[in-house]
Amino acid sequence: MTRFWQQLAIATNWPILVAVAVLTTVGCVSIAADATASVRNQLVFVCVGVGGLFLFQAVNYLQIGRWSWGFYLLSLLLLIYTVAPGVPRSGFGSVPNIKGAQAWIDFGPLHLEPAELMKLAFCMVMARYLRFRSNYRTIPGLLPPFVLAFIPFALIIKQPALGMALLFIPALFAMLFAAGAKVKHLLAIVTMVVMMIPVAWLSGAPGVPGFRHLPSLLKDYQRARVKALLIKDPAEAKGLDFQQRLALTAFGTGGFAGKGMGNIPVGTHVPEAHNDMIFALVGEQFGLVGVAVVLAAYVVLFAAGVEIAGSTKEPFGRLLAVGIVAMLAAQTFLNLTVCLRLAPVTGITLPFVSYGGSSLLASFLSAGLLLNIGQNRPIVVARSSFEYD
Amino acid sequence: MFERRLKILLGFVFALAAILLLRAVQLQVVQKRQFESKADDIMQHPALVDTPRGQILDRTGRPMAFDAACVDAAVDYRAIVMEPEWIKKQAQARLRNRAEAPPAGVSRAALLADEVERVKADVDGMWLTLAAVGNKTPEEIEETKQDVVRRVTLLRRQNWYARFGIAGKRASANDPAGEPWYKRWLTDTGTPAAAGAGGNDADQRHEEALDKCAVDVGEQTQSHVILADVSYDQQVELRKAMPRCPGLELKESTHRRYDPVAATVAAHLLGHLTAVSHEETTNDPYFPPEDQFRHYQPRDTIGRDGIERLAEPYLRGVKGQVAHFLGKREPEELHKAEPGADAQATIDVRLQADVLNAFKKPLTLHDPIANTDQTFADLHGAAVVIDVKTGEVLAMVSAPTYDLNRYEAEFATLKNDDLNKPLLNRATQQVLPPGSTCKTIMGAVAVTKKLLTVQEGIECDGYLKVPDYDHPGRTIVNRSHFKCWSVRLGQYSAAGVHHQIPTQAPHVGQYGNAAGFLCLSDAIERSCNVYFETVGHRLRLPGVVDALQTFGLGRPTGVGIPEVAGSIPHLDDTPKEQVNQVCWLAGIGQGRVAATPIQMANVAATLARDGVWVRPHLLRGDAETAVERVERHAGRLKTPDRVDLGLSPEGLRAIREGMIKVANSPAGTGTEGHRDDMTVAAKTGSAQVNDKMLRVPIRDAAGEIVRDPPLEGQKKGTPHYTYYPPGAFPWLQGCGEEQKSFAHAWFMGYAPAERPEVAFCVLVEYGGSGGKVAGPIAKELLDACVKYGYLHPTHPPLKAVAVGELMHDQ
Repeated sequence: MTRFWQQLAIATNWPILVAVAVLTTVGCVSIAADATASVRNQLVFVCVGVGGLFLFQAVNYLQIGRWSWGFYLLSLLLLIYTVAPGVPRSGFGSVPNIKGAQAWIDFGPLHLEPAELMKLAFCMVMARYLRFRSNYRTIPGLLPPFVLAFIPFALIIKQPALGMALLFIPALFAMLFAAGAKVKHLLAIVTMVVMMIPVAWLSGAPGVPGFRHLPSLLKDYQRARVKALLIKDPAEAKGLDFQQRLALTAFGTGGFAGKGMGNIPVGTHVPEAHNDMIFALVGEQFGLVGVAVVLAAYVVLFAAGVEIAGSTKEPFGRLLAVGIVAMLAAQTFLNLTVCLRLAPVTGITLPFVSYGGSSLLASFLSAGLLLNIGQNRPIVVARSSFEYD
Repeated sequence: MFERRLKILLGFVFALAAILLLRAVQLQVVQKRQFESKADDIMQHPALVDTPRGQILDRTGRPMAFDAACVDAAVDYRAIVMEPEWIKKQAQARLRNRAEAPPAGVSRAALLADEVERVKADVDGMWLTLAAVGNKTPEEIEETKQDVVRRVTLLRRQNWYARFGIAGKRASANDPAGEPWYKRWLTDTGTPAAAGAGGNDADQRHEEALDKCAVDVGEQTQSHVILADVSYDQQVELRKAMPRCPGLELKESTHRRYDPVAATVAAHLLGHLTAVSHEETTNDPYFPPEDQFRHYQPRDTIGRDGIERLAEPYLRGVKGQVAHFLGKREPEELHKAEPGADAQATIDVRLQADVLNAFKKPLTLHDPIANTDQTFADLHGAAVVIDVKTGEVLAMVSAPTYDLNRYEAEFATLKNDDLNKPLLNRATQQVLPPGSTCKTIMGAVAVTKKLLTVQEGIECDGYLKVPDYDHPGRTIVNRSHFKCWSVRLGQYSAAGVHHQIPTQAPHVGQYGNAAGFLCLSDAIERSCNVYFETVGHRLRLPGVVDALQTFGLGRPTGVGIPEVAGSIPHLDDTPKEQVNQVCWLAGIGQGRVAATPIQMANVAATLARDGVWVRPHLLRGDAETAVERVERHAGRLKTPDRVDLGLSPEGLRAIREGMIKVANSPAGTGTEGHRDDMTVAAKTGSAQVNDKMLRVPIRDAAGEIVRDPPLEGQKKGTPHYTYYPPGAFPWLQGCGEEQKSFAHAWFMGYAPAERPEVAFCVLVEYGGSGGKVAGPIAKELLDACVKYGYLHPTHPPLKAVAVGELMHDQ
């Protein structure tokens, strides 16, 4: 028995665990500071999350991987359920409209966000799909992965949760890139998407000739949020980015050393600070020092994830690690850029730090899978890569 | 395999983390200050807190004006503007609190919609209730509501300006075409209305920007006063109606109150408060808009007239500011309110009351000429007492008066009382010819100008006889108009008038003058008209004007409350053929000369100070210093504080000697002012009025003056008048041979004569003889001064006969 623990201790990727612990602690402290959120709930979620983490670490990821498609389909069904017409809006099993989106399913004490499950399911199914193929090195071969990504993407957009949907794009590209898809193909697709952005922006927008009659791809408030980012004068922005400006102010007033743990005079006024804007509370409490620590924790987490991917020769594990890292990194950086007013407001959480059960559970499960892949890396005597370039 | 690709992915992670770290450095280290100041702004909804107005104390420290607690009926702003959200909440609360179960088969939404309509109807009904309870018309209530809305809108804009003003101005003043193309493309909403409005008028765009950008202020969720100072009965009525009045609240507040005695005796002095005008809120006369805690806000009160106006910046205090923070129940104090300072006035309410009382007392006099008894009562007039040393006004009485505490309620009646004019502060606003009191001025200045020596005797044989400047060698003799007053009493004889009235004391010539020739002090004593008409003639017009101006006539004294300048002859406008007459009349204080009691009291004080003019003032201590600075800065106070007039000491001595004899010698015209415990110096005046009847305009039931239809070229028609003959009222008595003419009675002087402490002036309108009617009032005035310690009797009491010698001994 002791031997098992020894092996586990050796195999476990401690940097990841330390990083997760740091982030979770910072998150709980910040939530405790915000009077509008319950840190007790968060601690319960953390316990559940840690349980999930060990579960996903304990069972061999290859066994979990067998359930990829099932998991994906289940998440897809739940997603479809959220956007299906005629779904009840209140009561058990309903999809209440929370903050303008139908993203949560009400299971009594627990609100489940299927999109969070889908993030993990997508990584798994994509890794499983790509592991023994090479047809994605051709243009037609790229189609199935894009379809796999597009289905949840479209459903989540429908909810609407644009921020969440956007996370699938970097994850998809990172996995294709890591799997060896041709860079020129990927670049071509990226170029096309970039070129389509003005069309997406203008279609359905009032007053633009021609585009006026196209179906609107963006909601007006989404357009307004982007516009608000470019407006310097807060009065002119008419409160569109009220939360973001307040969060930025809270963040900025933190200074170098911060105001101290639990001290958030400005942060208390940031609406939903414990959720999407929790980084502002971190900045206000712990200052630049705390911000640097949190950023370092993320970098350690992602670097460890990439290292696991690099050292895992088993393709499913390798791609899954890349997918998980890409998904978490995308989510982290999108949240942070929003919080620091480098991007328009999108409602996504900060992994491990923000308040919220589904988000936390998904993050912990992802971390568990990473550890799982890491501890099952083949212990072989082998030289390093034959790649010389 | 694809190690390189993983490294690239890792590179992305590092790069993004580095960017974020740099951004964090920028925000938290470089721009920290900026965010700190922003944080102060963003978090709060500020609201101003009223501060109590300072008290006005009298010189003994007795509060004359103070803020007293009262109850106001106030209505929530959201009810005033009928905010739909608030109405809905009210309706929901009503539904929740309703006892009976909702009727079956009716949906919640329908119930709510129904209740919302009922709340709306109740709000509309509430205004009618308030109007009924407050005895106001619905239009007046509507006007008050609009005022509140205007005020809150203004506050929102002001707050917006304070926060974002500069950026907002730039954003709206700039032509959008000047912005970079990508920004225009991104921010252009493309709606034709916005494009049209945006392109044309920068001002309009600015206004629109303001409307959009007005920030929320705490006042939007507070209640605002609709009925101020609700009586107990009204409160009971409102409380009964309260369940049907959503948003109505009875709020404790303060109201300006006046000490019951001071409210009557010093009503004119104290002034009153009214709401500020729109002009004052936009262009505060005292504090710039940047000083937001002292700058006027709509519905603030401002002092009007009197000391309330004078000491306004001193009494006003500094408003406080609290912030209603998002998500916090208790507001936080951002700026502490500073209550207004107490201003101490120079007047003594007790003295004021005693003097006013003297005006009300009945007074029966025997008229020797008409040989009848006249009873005076409720006299109209004014009295001013000035502290000689400092120029402080110890008392300033205007009779009749009114109750300041009932000013608003009785305003219409008071305003339309054209007969008694109770609102007129006669001490500073009633200009009447000063009559013989003016002779002191003429004498003092003529001696200074060396046109007269104190020993020189001027013959008075009853008629004016002066050399003709226009025709050298000839003499003007005017037997028709410029008779000496004693002539009218039948004292003319071939030997000349000896001014023996009333005691038959014959005049003994002094300084080698013939027994009939009066020299300066004798002329003052006996108030010879011919003497001073001659002096006026010698001074000629520029001299007369200069003399009057020297003593401060024809311009406000600078006492600080509304006053009238009075009038003096015009140097340039006087027609040549009238110059002589104007000079003669000015010599005896008639004709083109008119002055206020405060001016004449100050003349007496100036004489008492041996020719030093001091600005009379109504405030003491810090208040005086502060207020004087403000008034001078604003250009309202133009008179100097102290001027040595440079008058000839010799002339002054003669005038003062004459004034002592007025009150103390048997031949003096003002022996009513004689006191046993001290020597009083005085000068009487009886200024004749041309009118034979008192003319008062007639008003209709609405208070409008009844007029004829306007004639061609007239703006308003001729008013209708009621005419009152002499004797119509106890205060309106005639004088002269048949008591058919009017005269105003003056009595000015100072006491004690040797070392003057107080100077005074009493004016009685239509009182007739200065000595007989105003004199007794002056006597009571001096009694009161002794009683309250402003006059200290000199011992031993001086005998009247010794006066002349005493003055020469000095």
